Amino acid sequence: MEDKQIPVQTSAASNVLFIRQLFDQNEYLVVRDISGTDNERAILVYINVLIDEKALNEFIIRKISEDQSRLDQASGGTILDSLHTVGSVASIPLIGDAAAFIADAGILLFVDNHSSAYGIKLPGYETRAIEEPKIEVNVRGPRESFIEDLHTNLSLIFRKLKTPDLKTISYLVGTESQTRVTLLYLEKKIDPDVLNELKSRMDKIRLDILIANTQIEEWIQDNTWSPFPQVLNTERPDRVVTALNRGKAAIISDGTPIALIVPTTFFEMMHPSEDLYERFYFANFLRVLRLITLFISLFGPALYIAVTTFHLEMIPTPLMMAFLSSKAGVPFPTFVEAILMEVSFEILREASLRLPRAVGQSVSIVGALVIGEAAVQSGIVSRPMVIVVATTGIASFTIPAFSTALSFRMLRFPFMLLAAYIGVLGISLGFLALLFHLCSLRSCGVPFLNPVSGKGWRATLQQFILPPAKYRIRNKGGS
Amino acid sequence: MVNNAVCAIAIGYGIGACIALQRRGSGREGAAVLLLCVVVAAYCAPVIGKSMPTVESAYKRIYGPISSYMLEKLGIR
Amino acid sequence: MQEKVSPGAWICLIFSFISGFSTLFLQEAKLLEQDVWLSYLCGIAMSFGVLAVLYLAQRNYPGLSMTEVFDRLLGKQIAKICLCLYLVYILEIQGAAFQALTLFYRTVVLPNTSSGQIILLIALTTAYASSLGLGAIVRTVQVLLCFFLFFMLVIVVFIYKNVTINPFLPLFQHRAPEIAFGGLLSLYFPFGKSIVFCFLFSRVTNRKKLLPSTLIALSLSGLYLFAATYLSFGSLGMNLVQSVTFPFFSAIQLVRFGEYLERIEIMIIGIWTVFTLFEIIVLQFVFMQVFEHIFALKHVRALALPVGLLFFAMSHRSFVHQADLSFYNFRIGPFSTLLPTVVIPLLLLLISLLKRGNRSGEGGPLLASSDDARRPRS
Repeated sequence: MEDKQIPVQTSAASNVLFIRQLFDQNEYLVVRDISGTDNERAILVYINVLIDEKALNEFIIRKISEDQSRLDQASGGTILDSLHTVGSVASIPLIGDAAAFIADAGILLFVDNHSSAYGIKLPGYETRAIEEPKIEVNVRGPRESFIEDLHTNLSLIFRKLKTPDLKTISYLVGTESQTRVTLLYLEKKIDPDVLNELKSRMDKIRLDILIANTQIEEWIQDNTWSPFPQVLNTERPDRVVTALNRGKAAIISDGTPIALIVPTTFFEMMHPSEDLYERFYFANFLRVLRLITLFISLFGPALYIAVTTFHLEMIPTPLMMAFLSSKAGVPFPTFVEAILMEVSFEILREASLRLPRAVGQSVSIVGALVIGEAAVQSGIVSRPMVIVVATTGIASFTIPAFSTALSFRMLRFPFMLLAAYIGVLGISLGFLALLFHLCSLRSCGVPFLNPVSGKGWRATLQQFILPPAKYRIRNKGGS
Repeated sequence: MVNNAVCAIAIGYGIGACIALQRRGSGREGAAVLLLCVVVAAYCAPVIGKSMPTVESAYKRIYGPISSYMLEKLGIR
Repeated sequence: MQEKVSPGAWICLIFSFISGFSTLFLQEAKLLEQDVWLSYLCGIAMSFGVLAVLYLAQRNYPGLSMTEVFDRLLGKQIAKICLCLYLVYILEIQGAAFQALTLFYRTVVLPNTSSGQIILLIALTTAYASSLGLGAIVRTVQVLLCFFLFFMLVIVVFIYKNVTINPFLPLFQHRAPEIAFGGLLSLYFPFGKSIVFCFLFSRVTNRKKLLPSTLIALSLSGLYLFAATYLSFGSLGMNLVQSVTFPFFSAIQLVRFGEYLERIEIMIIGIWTVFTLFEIIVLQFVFMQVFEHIFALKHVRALALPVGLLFFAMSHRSFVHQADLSFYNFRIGPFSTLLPTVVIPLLLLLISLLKRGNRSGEGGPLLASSDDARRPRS
């Protein structure tokens, strides 16, 4: 903290000495005296693994040398003038800020008789190319996704929103990592109360290092203990742009290929961006299908347990005979069967995420065969249970928001427990508690699950039924 | 079994919540919570619970004669 | 800050509060048979009248909640006693509700589960729900109402196929005292319970629409109850309705989808259960609000679990036998409900009119002072 307040000295050598002390034991710190004279020294300092040394030599050093030869003058002032012609030069009066500038892929120039350091950002580290989204895959619509570089991500958004109304606020999060985070919003569309609330939450973040956006999410969300995310995360720039147009704010941080969108609602988590790119018939059909699959993924095993344990009379007689005959010889009650199969399925799912691609597919097939066929053949589980678990697992993949899908996956187990304990009553009570919890959640002060939108009946209807594009609400609600 | 469990939970929660609320400066709330929990524990206690008065038993005593009289007057069986 | 409720949400809340349990026993239908619609009309009219009376009493104190109006009109000590009577009333209603639900489940669905376990689970769920605040309760009602109405519509359509005659003919076959008593039964259960909503008047955004919204909600509840009664009588017949404990659900049991799918009432019961719990949740919420005012508390959330456990304890010790509930609902309830739902509201109206008359006579302001409006409400 004290280092940050020390001003840059007028002696370049003493500044460099100070910087060397700060970056002690860092063998990648490079100090280059480029003045060529002892009268007014000019010294470049940078970390060579961070900057583009080739560009430094080819453009900056060469320009400086050429200017020195042309003017037949070798002084710190000449070098500084040359530097100004090459790029945008920042003036840094404090040593601490100068050290941070070097750590952030900048080259710094100390000049004798100048009480500021001068810096140009020249990042030279490798970044990933823009690829197709891996999680939020579209059939139609754009196929770009964010990468780890903040500038590239911002450019993806600025290209799509060519309006001066797009505002940004920058933060440096992490006392050690000093990670750049940008908050974006459209000034005329965002609710000022929401923006102020978000800004105050961003100001309160206290972290040593910021590696992923999840850390920011945990600081700005309303309810830390809820299993449900109250902040939408997306890897798609088009989704961010749509959200900004709807009056939301987006948070993008350096080093994370995911943007956060705040505030969000349950409906936005359930409706992917693809809905906007398809014809409205199909989009609405998929919305209904997603609700059904959400219901199946959450209640499928629980309903099966409840019906087969407590309410057998619900099942038509021929089907009931089939169930009973398939269950004959299975030593475990339905609940234990369900737990065994669900846990096995979750193990398989987690393992497949970490398997090398070469063997992943083979292991998946083997796992399915082992779990499915062998377990049935050996009488550990019954066939209907395998069908239920498989259907439930596939249904859970239709939920667009990955974090929300995880939450529902996890909640399946308490429902199974309740169903095994008291059947349909347990499921009803669990459902009610879950619904109340969702309705009590807020995202930056905005209710998370509010069936009646405060923006009028058209906005309310649009939460459920997507009209054709030309009938959608524009400005705050439309796309 | 359920009653015993609730009795124990009520006592434990009542004392714990009362202490926690007192520390936070909400003495009144703490006392109210403790009062409610004591009532709950009394109703769920093994022996005395069954003899505790309920709204049903109290109203039956109070309104029973009124009800019989009125229904007789109205001729409703 | 306390969340406010829009008039539309108010309608949904009252409708779900009343309609949840209303179709369970159909006790007034068993008494009045084809003339039961008269008792429903009486019940709706009396309930609306009582709520209007309380609204008028509160109108002179626009910035205050009902509990504070009690204080103003009756004096602090008498107000506390009256509010305690309402607490006892809530305990009475919720005790009956818990045991009715438990009885239903043990009869129809879970015969081997003890009533204590069922009541405890329900109490814990409703305690959690009531601790989340009125905003969450209202939003949940709005979400669930869509599902409930959809499934009920499907069921109604299928039950209607079994109805062959108009069960409400011939009209006026019962004596006036019987119809009057039926009206009293309807006031006790289900319509009179809506009296607890007077403690939430201050939470409605548009006060001018409060009474019309309340009337709409009561009417819709009456319509739903009427439809359920019509379908029960029409598909089961008068005699069977008299003898079964849960007539409407017995009517649902007759529904078959296609050749194979029957006994779907189990699924309907699941949805219906969720809906009925709103009555208990609202009762618990209002209980906490009134309790908070009586004891001048600031933080209500800590009370949620103790109140839930109190509801459990009181319910578990009440109506131990099935016959107790029927007896109470028929003989005691209609009379015990008169004090909180008729006498006290009329008393409040009378006192508020007298005070208004005194103020007019003295030339003072009729409305509450600005200081009153600025006081924090409970």
